[in-house]
Amino acid sequence: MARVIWGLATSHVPSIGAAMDNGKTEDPYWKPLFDGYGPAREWMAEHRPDVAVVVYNDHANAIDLDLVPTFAVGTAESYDVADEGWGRRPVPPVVGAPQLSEHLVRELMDSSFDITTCHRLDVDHGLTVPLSVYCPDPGDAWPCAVVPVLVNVIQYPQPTAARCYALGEAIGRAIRSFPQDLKVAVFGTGGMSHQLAGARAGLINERFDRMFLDAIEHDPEKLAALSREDYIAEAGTEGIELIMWLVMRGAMSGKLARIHDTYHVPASNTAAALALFEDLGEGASA
Amino acid sequence: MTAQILDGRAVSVAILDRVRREVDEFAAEHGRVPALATVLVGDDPASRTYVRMKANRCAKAGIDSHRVELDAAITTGELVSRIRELSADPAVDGILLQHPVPDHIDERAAFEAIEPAKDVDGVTRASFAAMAFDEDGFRSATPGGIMALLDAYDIPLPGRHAVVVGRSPILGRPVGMLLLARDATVTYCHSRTAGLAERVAEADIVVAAAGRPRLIRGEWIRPGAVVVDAGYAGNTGDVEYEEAAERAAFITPVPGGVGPMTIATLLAQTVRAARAHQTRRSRGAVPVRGEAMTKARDNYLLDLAASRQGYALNRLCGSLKDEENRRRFLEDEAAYCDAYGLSAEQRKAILERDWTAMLELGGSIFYTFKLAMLDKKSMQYLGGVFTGMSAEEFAAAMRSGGRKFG
Ligand SMILES: [Fe+2]
Repeated sequence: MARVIWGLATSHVPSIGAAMDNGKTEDPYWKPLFDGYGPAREWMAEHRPDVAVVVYNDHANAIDLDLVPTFAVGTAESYDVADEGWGRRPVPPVVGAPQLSEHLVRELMDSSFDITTCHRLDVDHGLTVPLSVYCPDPGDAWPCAVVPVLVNVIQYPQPTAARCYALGEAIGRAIRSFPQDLKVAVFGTGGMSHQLAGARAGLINERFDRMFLDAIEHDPEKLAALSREDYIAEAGTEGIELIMWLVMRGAMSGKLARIHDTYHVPASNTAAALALFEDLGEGASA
Repeated sequence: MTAQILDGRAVSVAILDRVRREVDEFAAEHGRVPALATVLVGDDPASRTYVRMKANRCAKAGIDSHRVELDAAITTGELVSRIRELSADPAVDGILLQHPVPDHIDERAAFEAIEPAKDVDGVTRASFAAMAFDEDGFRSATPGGIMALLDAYDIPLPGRHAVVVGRSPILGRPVGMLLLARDATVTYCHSRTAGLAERVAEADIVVAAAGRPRLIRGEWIRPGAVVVDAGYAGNTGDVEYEEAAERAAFITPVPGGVGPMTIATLLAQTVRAARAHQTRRSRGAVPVRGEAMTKARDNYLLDLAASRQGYALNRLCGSLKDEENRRRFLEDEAAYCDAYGLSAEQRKAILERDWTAMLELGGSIFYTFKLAMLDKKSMQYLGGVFTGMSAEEFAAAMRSGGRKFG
């Protein structure tokens, strides 16, 4: 059977990817952020998954406003890296895990999540930046296959935090019922507090972010109970991306251990954070 | 015979009236007025007075003047970077660096920091070259003013012998070239000229631009000549006025001759610069800073109503993820907009890069950002637009922990 070995929550700010692509990680602006990633990256390099289920949102690249799926799962054998309007990131194409995708879609449907499927999907920074956070130097190929899971966080009304958490729980059950011996990592991406447009542009709410970083481990129900309006008010119009962390958290089994976390302001206009949790499994003692 | 006065003050009033009407038309068409940035370094009283006079004239003509006053101790590098900012500032149409600047500053370097399209005082190499080749460009203000004054009095120029006394790069040299371009026969005289009296005596037109009070004696002036005195030492010209006025057919007084024409030329060129600037903007070459434009609300939610309203605009911006579309857009922005069925307001917001108006009209930042990236504008720039800051100020606010609310 497949199992979830760890969960990674991470911001997916495009400029974090650009800093890596352009060799700027040692610049004074970026060094503190990347130094903060260090211990998590070392641990993850020693705990390689076979597949990463990456929960993210598209940013006007693969999905336009013609059709806006609330939850979608990529089902392809591979995913091209999107040109978001300024050229493709120089990273390898993403290899899919179509069998796991199919399994997830069926199990999620049976759990009353009516999933949109994406057979062709160019993946944007929302997915590739978290992969780079995990693996900064992939060479010719990423070290794992990927199942993209997309959440609409751009068009209002977004799914509730509670529904995202429940989706995560259903994804966790589905992974654990997949009859192949696979190690799976689940990525919850986006956040933390940020707002790109309007007079509140530049909003950072460290108090909320710190609360969230703690509660994602100890009290996810509290975060699931917040309304989308709460997220927008506290974390900014784009900070609502944090609901995708709850998908990751829901997919973890009962016991987990925090391996590392880091919080840094700013990554361009965003509070950037990473939190890494080892999944200790149902029967384990924490 | 007593010379007729070349009344720069009266002529400049007429020019400024015309400028005022042009400003009104410009404002009606574009919803803003032309803006001139004046840069004063140090506190030389004469320079301060000139800048104040220019600002007053701007106000009378309806031109927005934006005064930048810098400490005398500023370095060349600091001055250059300040002027470059003004050159890049979409809210500025024209730039005047009041000269002379303090001795320790490399004046040429400072002048060259002025974007030629904003060089309304005509001090850059680019402006000089355009003038020398008799091409479109901004005239150095005093020479341009002298030509306008001669024209106002219908002084014939072709074939006539003009003697220019002085060869500074923003006065003597250019005025000689402008006269040459109008088919005068031009002689340049300067401090090393032998027989200055004889040269001046051969002139049909004398332009005194040496900056040496009463250098040119009235008795040198050929009877019936035209005398233009661009001397600028206090209120004394380069020409012995009373004596010269006895012989000349036309003469400029000091003050009230060339001086007012310089300012009028500066202002007329500022309006021209603003028009050209606006044209570049509407072609999209120069995005516009937000504070002059639509004011942002706190939050923009892309709800379903906004999604409906902004559909065409977002679709257009989204299409820019394709390289071929980016090329086509840049080739003809207006035509590209027309193909996407934008509302008139949306079209205007796109063409004028009114980033806040785009949001008001249903735009989503994830879509409009693609247009910003095409303009090489960062999310910090946009943040600055929405919050009334420069990109640098906004980035600094982020570095210091972001903006806090509640
Ligand atoms: Fe995002």
